[in-house]
Amino acid sequence: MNRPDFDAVVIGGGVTGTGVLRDLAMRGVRCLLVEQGDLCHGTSGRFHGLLHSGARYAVRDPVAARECIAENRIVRQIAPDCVEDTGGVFCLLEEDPEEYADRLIEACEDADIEIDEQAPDRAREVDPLLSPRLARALEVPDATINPFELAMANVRSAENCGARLRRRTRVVGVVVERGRVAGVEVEGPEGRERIGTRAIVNAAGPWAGVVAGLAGADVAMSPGWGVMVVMNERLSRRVVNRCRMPGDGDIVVPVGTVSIAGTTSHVLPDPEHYEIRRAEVLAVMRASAELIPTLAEARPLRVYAGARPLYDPGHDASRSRGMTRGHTLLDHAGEGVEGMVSIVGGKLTTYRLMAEETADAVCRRLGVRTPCATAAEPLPPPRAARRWQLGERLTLNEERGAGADSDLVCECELITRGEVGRFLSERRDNGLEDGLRGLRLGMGPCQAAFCAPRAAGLLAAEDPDTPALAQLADFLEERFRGARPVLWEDQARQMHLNEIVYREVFSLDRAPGV
Amino acid sequence: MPPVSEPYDVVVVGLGLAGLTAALAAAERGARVLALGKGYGTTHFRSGTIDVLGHAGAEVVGNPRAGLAQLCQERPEHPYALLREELEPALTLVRDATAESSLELLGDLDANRLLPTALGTLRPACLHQPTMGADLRGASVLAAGIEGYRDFEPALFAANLPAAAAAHGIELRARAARVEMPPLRRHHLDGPGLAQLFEQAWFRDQFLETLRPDLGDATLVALPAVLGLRHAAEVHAILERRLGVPVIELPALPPSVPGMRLQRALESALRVRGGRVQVGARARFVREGGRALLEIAAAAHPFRIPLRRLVLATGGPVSGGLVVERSGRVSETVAGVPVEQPAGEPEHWYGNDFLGAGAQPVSLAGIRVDAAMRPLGGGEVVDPDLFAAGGLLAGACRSAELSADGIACASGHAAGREAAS
Amino acid sequence: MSEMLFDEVARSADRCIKCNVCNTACPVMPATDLFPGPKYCGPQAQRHRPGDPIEEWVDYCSGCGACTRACPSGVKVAELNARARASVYRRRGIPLRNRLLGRSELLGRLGSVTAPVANLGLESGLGRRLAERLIGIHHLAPVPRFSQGSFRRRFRRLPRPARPWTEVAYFHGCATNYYEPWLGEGAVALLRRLGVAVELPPQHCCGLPLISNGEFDAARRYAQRNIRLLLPAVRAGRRIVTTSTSCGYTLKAEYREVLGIDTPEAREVAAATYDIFELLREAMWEGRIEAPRAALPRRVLYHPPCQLRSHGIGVPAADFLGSLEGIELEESGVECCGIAGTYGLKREKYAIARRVGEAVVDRAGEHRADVVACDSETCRWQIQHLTGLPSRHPLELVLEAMGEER
Repeated sequence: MNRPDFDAVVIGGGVTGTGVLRDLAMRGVRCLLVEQGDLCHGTSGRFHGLLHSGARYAVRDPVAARECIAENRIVRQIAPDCVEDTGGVFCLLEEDPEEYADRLIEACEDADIEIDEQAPDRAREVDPLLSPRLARALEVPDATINPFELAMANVRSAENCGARLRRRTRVVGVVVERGRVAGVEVEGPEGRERIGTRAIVNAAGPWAGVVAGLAGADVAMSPGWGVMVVMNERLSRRVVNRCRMPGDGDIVVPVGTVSIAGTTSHVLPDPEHYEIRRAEVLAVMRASAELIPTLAEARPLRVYAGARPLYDPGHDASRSRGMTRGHTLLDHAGEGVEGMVSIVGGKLTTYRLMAEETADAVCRRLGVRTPCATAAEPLPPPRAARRWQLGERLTLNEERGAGADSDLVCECELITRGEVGRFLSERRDNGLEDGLRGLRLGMGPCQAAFCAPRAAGLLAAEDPDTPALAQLADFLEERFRGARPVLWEDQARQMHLNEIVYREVFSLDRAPGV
Repeated sequence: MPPVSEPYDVVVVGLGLAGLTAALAAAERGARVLALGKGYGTTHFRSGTIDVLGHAGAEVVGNPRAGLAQLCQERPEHPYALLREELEPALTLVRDATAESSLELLGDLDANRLLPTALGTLRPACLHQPTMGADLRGASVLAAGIEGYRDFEPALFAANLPAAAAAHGIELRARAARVEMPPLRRHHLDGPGLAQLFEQAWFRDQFLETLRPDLGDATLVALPAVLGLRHAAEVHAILERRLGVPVIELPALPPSVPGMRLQRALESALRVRGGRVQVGARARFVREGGRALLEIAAAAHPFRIPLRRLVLATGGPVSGGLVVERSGRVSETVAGVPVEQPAGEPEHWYGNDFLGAGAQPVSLAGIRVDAAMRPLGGGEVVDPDLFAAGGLLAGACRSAELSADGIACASGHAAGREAAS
Repeated sequence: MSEMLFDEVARSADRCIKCNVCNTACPVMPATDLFPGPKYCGPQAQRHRPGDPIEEWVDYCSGCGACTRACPSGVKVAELNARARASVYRRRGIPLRNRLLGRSELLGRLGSVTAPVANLGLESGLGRRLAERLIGIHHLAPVPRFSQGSFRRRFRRLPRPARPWTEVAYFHGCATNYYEPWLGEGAVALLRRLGVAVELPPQHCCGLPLISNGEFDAARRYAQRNIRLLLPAVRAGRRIVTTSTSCGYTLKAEYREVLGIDTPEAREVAAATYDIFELLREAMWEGRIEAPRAALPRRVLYHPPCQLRSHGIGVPAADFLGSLEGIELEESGVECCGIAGTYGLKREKYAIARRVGEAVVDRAGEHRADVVACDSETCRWQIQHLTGLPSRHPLELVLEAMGEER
């Protein structure tokens, strides 16, 4: 029998999949990652950005809480460039039942999560926009994390060990020979092909059920959808949590220049699409405004919905938030597909642990004995700029000197021509929207109206045959769809300005090929 | 109560095209006029052309006059239905006023002209500045960008113009050049900054010298629309003479230098006619014991102007004359005039697509007026001393039709005249 | 971030739709390579400021406020910049030059006591070059002459109207007190002619020079003292009248919008503060007084100072001047003369201020003006310096028309 192309194929380019890829590659496994869209195309690209301290789970799910804090500490060590150490605060308001605060303190102490009570006045000095109804404030080591940088760093590390990545490649079949995995059928930009492998890791998140089904295996996924509202400005220094049992609209996460208010919880079987209603957005904002009152009037930029890849063998659709946030590793050998495992559930904070457990299982199957090294070995630093901390980019721009701002493609997020160029040169085949994912280009107030044509210009300057206008239009459409549920007041004005520019000044809607 | 004297016959709120046209029309009739605005209007974002009617459905309108006739027949609720006779005199007024600042506006109601944009697309316009149009047929176009000016990428223009032109049966060639101007390296470059530089001889000389080697067989040179503010006509003439080929300006991202020219020329014409202009004034119309007042949110205490006649030219949702509230209402901000709401639920006020066919449903919202441009509520005149013009008016899909400027001029003209009468 | 204020000014940045209109209004941006413009330094940088970035560019904002006025979205661009400038200074320390320029009251008091000697120093080329070298005040920048004896001393001798229809409290400001006492005398004279009685409350420098030079803490002390000193007059029903549009704007707005002093007392004082022509125009519109029937056969270019424009009250002085017979009056239509308080005095900014001011020179030439009227002292000094024409406070011209000699 010929040696197959790879020892293992990982399906799904989210943070978990890239983490598995890195782990396997570091143990010397020849592996390939296939991703149907782009890195972080699914859940990883659409979560709120929180690196959990574990406090949110401490009362209800002590095991998950312990995992979180342990991994939180590891991720800060191995990926310092992807993490902003914002800290977090649990806010008990005057109307909230006080005993939850005491339970939280106790549970955090049990789970080894540092928790410090802070006088409400002091808490409001650090975060002046917190509600004046703040009764108790508990500080925990929450942080925020950039999933795109994290996924890319994992891929770079894996590639350094010989792993391969194929984007825009969808797995359409699993080849099983004599009850063992033999390969995958994929469909990519170059057409359909068969890739031989000895093992398959299904890390497809909300699509895990679909992927397992290709092999005739069963993974009962119950995507739990949550809506997140991106606010124009950063409204707090720290991650702000409501100090009570988790519910809708109880967290505001500061991510770079913005704050993300979330979230809701609905179970819907479709992992691709969720229609966000205006009423749901307003409800999230109202609830979050109890924590940060100005949020009721502040300007949302856009909204998005992310599907939590919840594993639910019981199929009880009514309990999305109550379902475990812990992860599950399923070995499909028992279903006649030896060599295929699915890693489901879990959360981004514990991605590395999930990857480790998954890789352990694969290595056992492959007879690889090298132990996991991902907890100690730092990830390679990002290529874009210095570490992503708020304020850094403004400082950096000034250091570059007079006129440097003319080099900015995205003025809202201070992204330079050089950074856009580097991103596009690696991923230009993906179009503007995907190609620039993770760069925060177009994520500011104007929702790409000013930066997208400049980025399209860079594409055309490099290769005049690129359908740059069509990509520009796609990018603008994607941004519009995200903003559509929050088009009122200033964001409505913004969209009308954008409409004037693209319909009236440029007639882009009438351009050939758009 | 002591006798109150109203210092102005007509006060106009809004400094965009509609407001300034209204102010000019009133001043022409001898009225003492104050025009004020909370900031500058959409002239600073638009192309500096006067678009009367550019699109009818999927079609590009060739003859705006004919297009209007058809539009008014098909959609009697369109603001143009009240204003057809008003367009010609309004355009004449605007054209004469800008000419005083050496800003000519070419074209007429009988033909739209296709003008290239910075993206290499083509757009129809009724009146345009002489710097914007040229015969494109068979042209060999050289597009020149200026290093460091990020809002015009000549390669993007050159890659797209031929196809855009071909769609209109025009054959042409286009290529790109990039002009590196060492003195600009430290500049924070934007359109108005470049426009001021182009008004200086040393800059033009160096620019021309750097560009000339790239000229080759070019029969037309396309530059971003930054060729001067006050002296654009002169700058343009010098460039054409020295390059020996026609030069056109391409409208780009805001701020629009041609739009600023238009706005400034109109503002200057108003001042010449004795009108007063105040920028940075947020206004509210109030009636107090039968007395009409305009209350400006000035520093510390309101500035109250006794009113005779007030023209609202505060614009649509982009300008803030109308607000799309989060509560799911569209409201008018200065006088609280009743607004005809968009059809359907707020959920559907914006369609699924940004650039899809047709207008966003919300853009049809606005206020209804009678033939004298007085706002109506429940079919009745809301206030006899109140008039409205421009982006506030209900019933138009301005962005889809390319009709914003024509509506602004015509309704401004009518409102200014009626307010001064 | 803990140092940042979260009030309506800070929140106004939320409304920016990136339209660039502020940049089109900024007079400084095209005059220098060193200022990236109000959009960059204002709402754009604001979103990054909770991270305490290093930023020096904002120091080149002159604070003229053209951006705030031009913004169709209501963003307080200039006010955001003033605050950012203060935090730049907080971090890097305030230079001696700025400390000096910020203390106009102290300078004035010293200068007017030693007027002959001090003026000699100001007029000698050597003295000015020394000042440039040592403290960074440009040797060509327009600085005034100290007056011998302050306005406050002269005030006691001025008569009151017989039957006043209102009584006001006069906030003269440092320039009137120490450099141009005749202006204060003129104000009192004009008000008397129009039936307004004037009292002189105790007062200090309004604090604006300290604000522009980044010393917010000191400015707050002045502000608090002034609020305390002016409050009795306000509570007695008197309005505070100013003849310097910049002092007036500081009392009206900057205490709250820049310094963040938002007490009921501060609001009371602000609400009672009127520019002299604002008061007179209102009285004219309400029929309390009549426009003076007088002639001024001169070609006058009226330049409304940038600070006056920020009042949001239009151009009351021009409304008044316009009623004089024979006057050929035109407005400059120029945003700023460049000086912007003490900005144009500084070594590194003098040339920028000159370039900004050229537009006023052009307008004066176009109008063939024989005098430039302007309500702010530093602007008058700059305009005189740049145009070579006399520059007068509008009230001086009204008095001239009414036959009152200075």
